[in-house]
Amino acid sequence: MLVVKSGAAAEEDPVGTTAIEDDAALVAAARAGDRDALGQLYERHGPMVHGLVLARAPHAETDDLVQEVFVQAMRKLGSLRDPAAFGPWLAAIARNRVADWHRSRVPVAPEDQAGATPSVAGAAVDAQVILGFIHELPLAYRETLILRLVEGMTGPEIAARTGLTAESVRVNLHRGMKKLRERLGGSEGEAP
Amino acid sequence: MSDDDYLWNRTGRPDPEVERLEQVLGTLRSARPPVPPPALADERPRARRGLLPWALGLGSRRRRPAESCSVGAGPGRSAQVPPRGTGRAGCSRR
Repeated sequence: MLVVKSGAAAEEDPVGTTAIEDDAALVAAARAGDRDALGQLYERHGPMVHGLVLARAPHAETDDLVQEVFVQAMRKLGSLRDPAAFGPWLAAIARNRVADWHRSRVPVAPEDQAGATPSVAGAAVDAQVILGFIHELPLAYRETLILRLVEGMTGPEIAARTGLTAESVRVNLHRGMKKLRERLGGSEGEAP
Repeated sequence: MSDDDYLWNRTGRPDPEVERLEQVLGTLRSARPPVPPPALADERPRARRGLLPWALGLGSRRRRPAESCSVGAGPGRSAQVPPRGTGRAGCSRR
């Protein structure tokens, strides 16, 4: 059984290079049938996949889609050429799975934040309403904001896990947050 | 810029609005405990049929909209799914 430590090790390596090496070892072990390695991959990358799915699909569908992404990934694990690139590879599967889900569903009105109360003032802040605001932002901002604010990942972690450059993540976080602040400020002004 | 540093990697002066958003939006994290999909080794001999019980398990969760739509409904959902390492919901082994 392969056990890869996280926590303290991750703190010493904020950019995530150790995590990438660990992923390669876990992928190798998982390919050899190590169930614990599969579980560790799931645990390490679950939040990223959840965030990427949540950036594109309604919250109510997210958990099931995440499971489907992992089933698909485990089936295809043998075809992954570079085990160190497991994170970006998994991210691509997640993005494609949600695109397939959108293509296959009967078109309906968006999930609907449109009917939600726009007030986000004070303590009555509603996570679903804020998520609706984030869903209105461009996709690149949506992804990074959800990974940062919902999943609790730091910018360097987002870059390491998704394969995006740190610079892109930083710019997307900064611009996305600026737009979200504008949206939140505007809505607070609209409150009755 | 300290606000940006906090947004970037939680260093520097904490940004109250980012902290508030982290707190509120953190409730949208997955409440489902990690249940790894069936191992490849188990699926191979059974081809597609090997996944069916697990897939049916997913279907039954879908039919409970109140549960799947709930935010942070850990306790109710946790009771449905065994913790990791003790077996998998709706997944038979042979």
